[in-house]
Amino acid sequence: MNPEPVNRIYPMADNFEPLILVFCCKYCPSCSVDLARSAKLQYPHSIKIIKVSCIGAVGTIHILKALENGADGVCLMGCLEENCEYSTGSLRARKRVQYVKKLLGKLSIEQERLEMYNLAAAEAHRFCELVREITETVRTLGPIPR
Amino acid sequence: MFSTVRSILVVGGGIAGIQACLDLTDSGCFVYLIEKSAFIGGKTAQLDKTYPVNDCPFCIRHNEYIECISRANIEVLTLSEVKNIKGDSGNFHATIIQHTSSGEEEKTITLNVGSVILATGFDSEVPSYCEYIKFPNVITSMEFERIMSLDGPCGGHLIRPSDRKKPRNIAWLQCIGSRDIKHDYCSTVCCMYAVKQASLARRQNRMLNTSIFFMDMRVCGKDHERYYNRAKDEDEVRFVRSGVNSVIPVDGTDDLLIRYADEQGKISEEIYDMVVLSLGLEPSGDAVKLARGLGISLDKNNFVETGSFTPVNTSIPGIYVCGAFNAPKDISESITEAGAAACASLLNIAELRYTAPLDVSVAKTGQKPVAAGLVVGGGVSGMVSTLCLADQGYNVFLIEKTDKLGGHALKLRKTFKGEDVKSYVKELVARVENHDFIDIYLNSEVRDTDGYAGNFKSTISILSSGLSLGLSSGKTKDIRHGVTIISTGANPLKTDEYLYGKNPRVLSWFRLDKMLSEEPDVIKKANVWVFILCVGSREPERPYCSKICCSNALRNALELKNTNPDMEVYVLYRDMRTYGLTENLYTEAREQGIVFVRYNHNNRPVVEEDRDGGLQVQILDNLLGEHIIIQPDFITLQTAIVPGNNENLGRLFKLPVDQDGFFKEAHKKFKPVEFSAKGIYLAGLAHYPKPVDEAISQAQAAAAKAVTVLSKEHIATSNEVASIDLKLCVACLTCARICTSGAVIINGMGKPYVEPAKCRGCGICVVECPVEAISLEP
Amino acid sequence: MIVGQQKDFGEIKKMIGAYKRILVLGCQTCVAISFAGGKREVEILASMIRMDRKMAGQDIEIIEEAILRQCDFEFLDSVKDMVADCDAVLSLACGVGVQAMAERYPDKVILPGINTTFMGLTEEMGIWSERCAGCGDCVLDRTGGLCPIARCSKGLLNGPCGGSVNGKCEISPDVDCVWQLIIDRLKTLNQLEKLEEIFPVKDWGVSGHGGTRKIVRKDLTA
Repeated sequence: MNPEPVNRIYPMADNFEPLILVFCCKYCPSCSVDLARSAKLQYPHSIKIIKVSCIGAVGTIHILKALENGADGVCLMGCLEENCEYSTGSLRARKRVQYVKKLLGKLSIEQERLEMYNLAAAEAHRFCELVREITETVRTLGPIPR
Repeated sequence: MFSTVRSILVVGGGIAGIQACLDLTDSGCFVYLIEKSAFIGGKTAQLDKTYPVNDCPFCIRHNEYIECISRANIEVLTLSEVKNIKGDSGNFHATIIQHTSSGEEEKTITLNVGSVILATGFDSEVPSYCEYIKFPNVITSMEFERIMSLDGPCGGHLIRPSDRKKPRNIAWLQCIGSRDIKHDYCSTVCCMYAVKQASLARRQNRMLNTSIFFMDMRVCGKDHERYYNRAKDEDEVRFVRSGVNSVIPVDGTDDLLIRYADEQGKISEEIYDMVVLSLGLEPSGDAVKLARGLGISLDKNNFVETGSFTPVNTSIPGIYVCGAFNAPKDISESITEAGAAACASLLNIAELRYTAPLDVSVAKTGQKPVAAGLVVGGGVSGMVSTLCLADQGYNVFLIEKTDKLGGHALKLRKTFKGEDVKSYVKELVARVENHDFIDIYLNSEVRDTDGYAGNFKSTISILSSGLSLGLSSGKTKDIRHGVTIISTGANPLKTDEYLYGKNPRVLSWFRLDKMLSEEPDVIKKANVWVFILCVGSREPERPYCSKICCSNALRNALELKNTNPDMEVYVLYRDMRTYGLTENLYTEAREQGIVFVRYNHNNRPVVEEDRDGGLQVQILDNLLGEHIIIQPDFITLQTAIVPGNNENLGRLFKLPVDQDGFFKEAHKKFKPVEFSAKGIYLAGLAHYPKPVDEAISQAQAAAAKAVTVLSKEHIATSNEVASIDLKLCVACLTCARICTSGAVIINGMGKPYVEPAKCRGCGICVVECPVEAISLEP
Repeated sequence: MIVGQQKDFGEIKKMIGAYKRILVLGCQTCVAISFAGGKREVEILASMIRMDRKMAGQDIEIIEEAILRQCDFEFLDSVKDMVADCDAVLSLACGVGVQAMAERYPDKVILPGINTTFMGLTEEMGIWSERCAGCGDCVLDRTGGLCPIARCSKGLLNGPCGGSVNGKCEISPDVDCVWQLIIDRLKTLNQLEKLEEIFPVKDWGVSGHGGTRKIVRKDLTA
């Protein structure tokens, strides 16, 4: 639960490669990722994908620790709410992300660093688009001052 | 190599082949899956969305596709074809040719297997009379699916081929390659898929006009009628009952002009940007060649011939067929038949498999599943499932609430193919009664049930005195079983429409069945007979189709004509839903001079009695545009099939019931015989109205699924299971409240307990526990 | 149980000021169940404090711990070393726990991370509501099991005021008028006549308004 802090040097914003931690549940979003990879679609290499059983199992603590220990942005990818294998996981994750965004606000951390998306299984292109989008947003915001 | 005679060969890697593989490998068999192309998934994997849920077939099933190729006891051979199969049931030798990706023959493989399943699917050829396919904006239905697919050539944007512009209007032409001289059958799926394509296209672009040109709207399956109503009312898809005469290019453009005649015979012309041909399903050419070479009986349309009582058996013992190769059918029916074929092919090698099952590696709970099944409902489906389980060596408790086995099939005479139902049922009952592994409880009900897959406990209560193993009324019996199969059937509607119950000459369809066997003289004396279809079905209070009425009516109408060729027979219908191979009943009926009169929902036939008690039927004939009056000797009402009292049973077993009162399966498209709750399965009319062959294949499929639980060495659980540290736990009840698998139970002291067999390892409780007392353990 | 709510982060931040080493101590009973101060919340808050400091270019060391209860001194003893090691303790217990800590460790600054709000119950996960005001003189037998002291906005003891409309309190349409509920409940129990019984004036002396309360049971003391 305590990942090694990532030591990096951030000289200037334009050389900044944001590190985005992408939590994907093992159902639809992982499938989109696999499809994207096998179709050799381009997406930013500076993301780290973590597969979880259900996106609802990603807790507030995981998101905070990710940002604390080196991630510049965190992205949660879950199934469409009506397709959640465990019924409520995707919905719980959405509510949790809304809550954590408020916590980030109290820390004066930009809320755009954290996003939740719902993916269907064949959305390889959309996965790449979304990941590119959040990477660019976080790139503009710069690294979290540390 | 595993010992090969305990293995099974599945030919065809489409949805049916994959489902058969999964059921078989889950039961400890070794399976060879042969696929002609380079990928598995078949036509289903290429579809954009599937009706009636509009799910992406890839999303919902991709885990299964991956499982299929990654299990230890399956070998997938792509780019391979079966050249020949020699030997006998239980010991076949199959010669497989595997090609390189450039098409050259690479190697020859010989496989020794116990059973073979043909799941070769279908081809869709554009018929030769559709020369307009050569125009760029006339496309096939599959091409339309690919255009709409997110991972297709247009990225999901609906554009037309010639200029890549958004079309303003699209026409669908139904029955292309079906219901014609070369194809005397209905392809079953085209109506629904056209409705799906048109309504999804409308949702993508509200400015788009969609028109479907059709003869009959055959939306007979579960939830299909609602889907069609939504497309009409909410998505505003235009439906034109018509006969299309020609499709002509418009000079100077890439548009198409459609010339058609409507129901009154008026000729109209309309111009469209795009035309989609709803192609029918034909047996795959290569499969037909293989079948002929093996000597498998094919019908006149090259579909594999099967009997209604043995829907997945070919004419060669040990070789089974499922999916579109024996008749056109949709994905849910194909998946069901695949399960049935799995069951049959397992039974074929039962002795071999039972002695030394291969243990597929699963996470273990240390508990062995109870090797018994509970089957609730002793009709045809119940008895078939019971026998499938008992023949594989499992004990079965068969519970029936009336005083005899057989259910509604006892009222039926013949199947649509003309087979004798009564003698089949008699034989089935005899087999069930004489089977050592089956305990029958008549006049009994399930009073209580609890547990989980592999370990259920139920209480049977005897309602009135029956010969149930010496127990008398009022007594109860506790049983333990590993699986439950619900096959409680349905009932014919009791109607008061059309003077039923008031005039003795207005008959129910099963009364006519009885008359045909017992009162042929009455029939010989009758001059005019009227059938009224859709009595009680497709109404606002019952917006579903009862599926079997059209073919039942035509079967009986033909029998009437046979018994009394001079009789005038009228069939009053709304849509003629003789789907699949039953279409030839419709062709024959018209050839025999049976008169078909179509009526609209808001212009129903009016049945009156005259002063002498004679009947009079008045109906608006759409073709003539005028009312006609018929004075029949008898009227037969094709009444709806309505669900039994499923709510009570549903509450007992914690099973959901849908808005029409039928049981709700885990997934309407892809899991037709299971419930979300593991270890409980569904078969027969309790699921939805269906003919006897579909009920039998569903019963076999339910048994196949049941065997995947019963045959394991240990009760399976998910790979990771939540584990609660009771030293930290403060009994806040959060985990019990949020668990959606029902896996957390609070014991007497308020402390939670996780039932490993029910926990699905989602991890939600782990992250919500306020004292962090839960972790996921393997 | 006692229901608490974590203080606003800004307030907590101000309280811990410039301390370099703090112990964030949670309590695994009431406040854990109200998701304000259990181990889960301890970890989340600690992470937030660390991030906040890092962003300001400063450091902080946080020891994270949670004990079963902070209102029994024996449990407090178990964290003796951790307390000694830190500059200050941010206790996520209810007011009782914070004070117990302060009593046990009089030389250490003990900060309250939680506002203790009320005695209440969990209506469903995520929703807690007040039920008991701790008045020391329970009248629930006369009111069908519904407390007018805790749940009536005016604390009335003799029936609803004129502001009770359609069963709702005049302060908000979302708040039920407890007296309406009491009347309905007494009707169900066939006890409506209880409303007409005369009771002596309530002794507010035992409610805390008369000074801090203490109970001594001579049969249980040493």
